[in-house]
Amino acid sequence: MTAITVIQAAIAVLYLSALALLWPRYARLDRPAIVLAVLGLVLHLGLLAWRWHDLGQIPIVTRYEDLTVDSLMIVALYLVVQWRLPELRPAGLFALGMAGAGVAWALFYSRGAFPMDPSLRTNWLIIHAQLNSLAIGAGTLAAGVHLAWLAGRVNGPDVPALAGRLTDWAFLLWAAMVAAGSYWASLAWGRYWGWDPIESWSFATIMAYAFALHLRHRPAWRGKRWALVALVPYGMMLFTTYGLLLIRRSIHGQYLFQ
Amino acid sequence: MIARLFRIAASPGLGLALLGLLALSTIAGGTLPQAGRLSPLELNEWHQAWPLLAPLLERTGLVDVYASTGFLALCVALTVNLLAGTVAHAIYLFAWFSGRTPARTLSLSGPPPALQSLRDAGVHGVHHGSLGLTGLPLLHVGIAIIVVAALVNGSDRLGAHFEMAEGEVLSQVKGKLMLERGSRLPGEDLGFRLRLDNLRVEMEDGRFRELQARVSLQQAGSPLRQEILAVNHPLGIGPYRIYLDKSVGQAALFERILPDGQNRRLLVNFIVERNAWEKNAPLARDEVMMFEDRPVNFRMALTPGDVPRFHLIAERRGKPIFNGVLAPGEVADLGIYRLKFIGTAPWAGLYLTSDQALKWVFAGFVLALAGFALHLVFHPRHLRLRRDGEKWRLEAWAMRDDWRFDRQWREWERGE
Repeated sequence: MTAITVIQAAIAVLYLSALALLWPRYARLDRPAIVLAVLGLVLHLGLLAWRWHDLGQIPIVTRYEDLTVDSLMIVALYLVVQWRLPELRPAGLFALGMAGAGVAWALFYSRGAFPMDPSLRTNWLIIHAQLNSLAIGAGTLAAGVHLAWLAGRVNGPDVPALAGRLTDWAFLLWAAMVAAGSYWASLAWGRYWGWDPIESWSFATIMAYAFALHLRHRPAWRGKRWALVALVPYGMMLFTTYGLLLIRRSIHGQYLFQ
Repeated sequence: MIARLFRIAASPGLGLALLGLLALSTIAGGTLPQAGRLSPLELNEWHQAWPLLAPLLERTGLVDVYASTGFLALCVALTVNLLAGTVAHAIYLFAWFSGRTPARTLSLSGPPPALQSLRDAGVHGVHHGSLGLTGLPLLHVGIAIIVVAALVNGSDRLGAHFEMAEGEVLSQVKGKLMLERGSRLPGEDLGFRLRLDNLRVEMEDGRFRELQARVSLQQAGSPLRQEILAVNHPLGIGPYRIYLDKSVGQAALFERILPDGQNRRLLVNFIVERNAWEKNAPLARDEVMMFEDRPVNFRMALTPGDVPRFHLIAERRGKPIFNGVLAPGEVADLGIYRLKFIGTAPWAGLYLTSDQALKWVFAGFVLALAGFALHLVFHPRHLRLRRDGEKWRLEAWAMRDDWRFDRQWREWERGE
């Protein structure tokens, strides 16, 4: 067992322990939960910094790195949002669970180093991949708020608006990720759009988010029914990022996610 | 009648239905095998794997979603709805901005300290974050620009693959460009001459470590210039852009000597798999060519390296007309003409495009994203404070999900 495996497992344990302390049964332990999550985040940042230094290239290429960075973004965004809006702290039940699962899942992928293909040696990779991770982070946080709202763990007059705003941000970041990828594709492949399976599903996710965000303004759909619908585009976002390449071949898969 | 048509076109319900349909059709397109993206072999395999489903999906058009009329109609209908909805929304926003829509009101015995400045603002009140009002119209106009530019681009696009070996010159399109489906052919002359001077290919574990081409470019009326063509750095030439498409190989170079003594350069390209680039393994290619209206079957094998070898078997009607191995400088006599093997040169696959509306597509992206960011960052509010007898009347216009303002409002309601 390597040091990296131990650190990675420790991060997952910290996130999952924080989640356990946020459980409704331990209502007064939310502060220790946040401390554990912050500790996990610090360790998480250190792990990525170590890998970056070790490889000499930004660690956002392989599936292992992708899962590790996405989990980091989820926790970082959650900690910022719960600091500014403490009433959304119960969303950590889902957000920290997803982050812990992501860090643990990453352990099943190769941690080897791969030479950077020339098409990956561009700042557009950093922009595109980081926007993707941020969108996953915002989407997970929004889904956490929706689920906590549906479960009655967060209440109050501002919750519908806050849930809507977080969904807005997830949509903006996902759309920006798609736009950045499209511009990069125009430089690398000579076409800005090709209806490749990943591109098709990314577009379908945008459409599903647009659908959900418009539905929010229909009087009949303003409450918890909308929170349920808003989970659909989030599921599509996860499937596009992690699931689609398991069942369909894509031009995106030939560079990434070994 | 026009007002009724506009109301239908701008209907939010119609927009929701179209968005849902577009999401479902792209899910189908991204999940089911699409005819335009499969090779004939893959298409055959798909038919054999799904003998009942494949014909059914073909009949319903689900295996060619993006080229279907229905998909185009959906995009056009959504754009019309989006533009009409944007106009309706902009009219509402203007009325909102001017304070002509119903406001939420509060009766106060005295204005709280935070609202003291409102007393002097008069009947027009005070506006905050007005920039946010432009956000959603900009977002929707940006999307409309993307759709229109993509439609224009799709109907007038050139996409063509070609191969160039070191030393080879591209000047004419005939017999050289392999056009993509739906591409239009440019004129016979491209308006420039391109020569591949040098190709740099470095592989590591079957992956490109470096791929770069040095080219000489001559455009009409311009001096000859040298350029570097690399991955992510296409070469722009007038309306065209040229890309390295990341296929590489070795070309066998010949001189074709005709009976009248004329010489012509002939290149036979062999594709090299990435993990075999540095191994100099024999490369095979079979070809049937017509000579004097008769097919001649060529079976060729090239062994690259410092001293390359070219094994050629040429048959006509099953009878061999040549079978031998050529070293550089050696000649094969095929009867009709002679082939002199000169050596080998690396070749690169290139991709030529012309996307006239590309800039508009990205302008649309920028406008749409900037619009939505404005909507999220700026929260437009309109506040007005008026005397109402002994009391003060506070009128406010704020967006529905402006939760910060809602909190403030509740504080004012509590008299804080």
